[in-house]
Amino acid sequence: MKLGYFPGCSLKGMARAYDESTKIVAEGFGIELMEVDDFNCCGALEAKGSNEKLSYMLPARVMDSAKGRFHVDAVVTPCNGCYHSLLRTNAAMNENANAKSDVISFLKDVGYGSYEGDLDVRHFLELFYNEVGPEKVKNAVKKSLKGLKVASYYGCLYERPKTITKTGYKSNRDDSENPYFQDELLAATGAEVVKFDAAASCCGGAHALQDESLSATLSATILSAAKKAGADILALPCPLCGAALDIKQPEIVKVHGNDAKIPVVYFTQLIGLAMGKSAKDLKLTDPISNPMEVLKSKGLV
Amino acid sequence: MKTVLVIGGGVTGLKASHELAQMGYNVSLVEKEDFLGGQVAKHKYYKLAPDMRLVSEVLDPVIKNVESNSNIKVLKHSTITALSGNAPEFKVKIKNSKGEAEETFGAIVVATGFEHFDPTVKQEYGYSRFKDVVTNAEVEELLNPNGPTKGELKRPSDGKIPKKVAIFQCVGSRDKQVGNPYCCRVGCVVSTKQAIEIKEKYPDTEVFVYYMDMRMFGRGWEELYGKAMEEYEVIFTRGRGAEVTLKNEQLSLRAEETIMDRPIQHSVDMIILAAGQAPGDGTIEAAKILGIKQNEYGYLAPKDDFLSPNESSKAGIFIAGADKGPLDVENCIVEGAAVAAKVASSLK
Amino acid sequence: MAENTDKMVIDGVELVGIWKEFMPSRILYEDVTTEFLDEVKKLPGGSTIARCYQCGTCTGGCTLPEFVDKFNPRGFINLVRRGHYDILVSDYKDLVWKCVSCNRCTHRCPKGVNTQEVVRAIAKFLEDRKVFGKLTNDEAFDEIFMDEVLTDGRIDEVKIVKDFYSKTGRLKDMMSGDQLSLGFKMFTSGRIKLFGGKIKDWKKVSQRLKEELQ
Repeated sequence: MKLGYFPGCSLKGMARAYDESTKIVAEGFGIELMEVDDFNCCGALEAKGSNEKLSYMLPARVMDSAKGRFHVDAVVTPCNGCYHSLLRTNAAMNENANAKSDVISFLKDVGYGSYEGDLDVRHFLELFYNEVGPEKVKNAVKKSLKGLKVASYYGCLYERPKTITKTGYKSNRDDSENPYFQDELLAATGAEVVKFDAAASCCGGAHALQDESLSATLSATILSAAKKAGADILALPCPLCGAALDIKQPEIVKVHGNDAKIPVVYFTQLIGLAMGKSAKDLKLTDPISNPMEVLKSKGLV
Repeated sequence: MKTVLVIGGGVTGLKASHELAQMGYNVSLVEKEDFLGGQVAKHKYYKLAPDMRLVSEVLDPVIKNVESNSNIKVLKHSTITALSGNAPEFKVKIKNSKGEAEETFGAIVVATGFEHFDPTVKQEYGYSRFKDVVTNAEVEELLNPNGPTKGELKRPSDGKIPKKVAIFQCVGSRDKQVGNPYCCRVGCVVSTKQAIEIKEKYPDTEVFVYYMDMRMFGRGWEELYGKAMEEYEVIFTRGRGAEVTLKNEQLSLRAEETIMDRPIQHSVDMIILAAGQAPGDGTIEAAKILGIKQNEYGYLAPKDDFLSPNESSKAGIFIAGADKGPLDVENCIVEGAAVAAKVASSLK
Repeated sequence: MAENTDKMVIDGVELVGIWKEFMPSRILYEDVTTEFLDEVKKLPGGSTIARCYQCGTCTGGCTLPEFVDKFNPRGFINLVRRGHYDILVSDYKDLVWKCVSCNRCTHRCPKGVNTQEVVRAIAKFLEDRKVFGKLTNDEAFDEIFMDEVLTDGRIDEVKIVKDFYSKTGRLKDMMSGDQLSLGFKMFTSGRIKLFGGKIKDWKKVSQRLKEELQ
């Protein structure tokens, strides 16, 4: 299976650590990713609020390129938002003839291919769980993360809405209400995954700028739940959640106090660490919430 | 040919067999399980709405009528595997543990019924995660004195009698997400009945029903609904169950109290999911073997819903009961009688 | 207006005048119109609104009511469907747009309503009718975001943040010590890339997308 890799804008910007650590982890486990390097923005939540047709055209252009120019069988993205946009476009193209013909004529107008809404879209977390899985991760551990307590957080669009993610319906997808793929992968590194009931709560990241105080409150609820559960660190698979929970954390702590102060990393950074990769390569110094301190204290870096 | 094959030994098939035998037909009744009574027997239904009549008072005579009739050959643990020929000379292969044999029939009645919807797929309700989230069928067994708890509503986790019970309506019915947009037609009355049974047995236990419409259209159902509110103080809340979680080791449900415009969080000891009806595997299998039409949900489609409700798309093959769509026990018996009359007139 | 000047006696005291202005009627004068329903249906994401059968699954599991009093997706849909535009504006206009797109509602809706997108469409419906009297944060963000997407094809988060603060007149906030040091940290760590990705024929694509947006 030839896999196209669609990092999305965030991974080329603020979530650079997620991009680099994803590539390291994929390579380490023999997953060959071919970067769809001419990608455009998926349109996120803004396109779908602005113009319906446009919200299908943007992701369709990415998928058309992945299929037509890179000839891949599936496209994988580590970003919950991009994952949502791509799946949503495919769902619309398959269920709504008008949406499909709009997209096809758009691609034709701009001299692109004839994408039909049939590219397999995977989230990197889901793909990694299914293609590699906890057992292989366990066997590949060079430096056990034993002693590190992790809160495994998923965000929203990885498992919701099941109308398009097919969680709970499609066999390779995670549970629709209580996702566990990341938990099992992290547990395989030797880390202790704490019981954490905000794992699928919303961080409010979509309104991180528009509605700062509400967004901060939602994020604080998650961060403090993780801390209360005894976690040393919170791991996640989404750059938008990363922005809300990590980059915004100093502001959140200012309002909500130290209960909301906890280091935040991408799950791929922790898996990379267990594989024996360096903190530098994994960009563990990137997060504003300073994971290095706790990792040092546990003797992991 | 005065021989008829009846497929399915639930109430519909039993009633049809008995009526046909009474009219002088030789009936072969094929049942895949090793007992008669279908879902009613399988899940040990205890009482029937709206009269709170013991199921045994209804089911036992229906079974006895069949077992004691020399015109009926009951073939348990049997299934059909192939059909050839046309009306009025069908050749059907019937398989059991001993082997396969072909028999000839003048007509076929399909009464393969329904199966309870499996709520595992509604992951937000935590059916397979939380022991004390149970289905309405499981509650029938719990309330039955011949059931596993000898009629006590002991909750599965610790065997305690719940003090607060919530019932979620429309689980797997009126739900596009699971592909069942239709109404199950029995959930409302069964839940009301179970609420009353629980209150009768345990007056200190509170029962809360979360519903979006109470569809009490059957004989005496509306009156039963009134009784549940007036005499038993069952609390009906208009709002569909949204999710079930565990809070401080206790089940906690969320729903909207739509009349108050407020979402509510409610801690309870047990949650009963009013799981609806889905076409059974037997129905889907029979449709395939017999080559008869199904509707979009898998139920058997009558030749004409109004004018020939008990005829399948194929001449000589008749359909009746809950394999045509969700149905209650009372009306399954009506269907059994109706289909027998139709078969008789067609074989005359 | 004759009924407004009716006489009214309370505790033996006769009140004369336009008393209903002081005592709002308990009766909701229902004048149902589907005008607004039709309008929302046509907005992006609004097409599934009429599927709703008001079961409350959305609000029951919604993230927001715990934090935003009276936030109620089912209620918003009901008001639009029944044409209670005045109530929507007076009581809910500052709530609807607060949806954080967690998608629990769409995820669980048994009727196939894309609730999250419908709520967004209702917010847009209010914005389009200019009930806020100013550019909302949501509108400002969407505009900046789409503008950036159409211009460069990709998003530069730092630029978005800067433009957003500038457009909403809060550039000052951004220049606060915290924000600046954050920006500096990210810049020096190489996380802010000043790039333009090479997208085949982006100009042409962008032109076509802009036509769509108009």
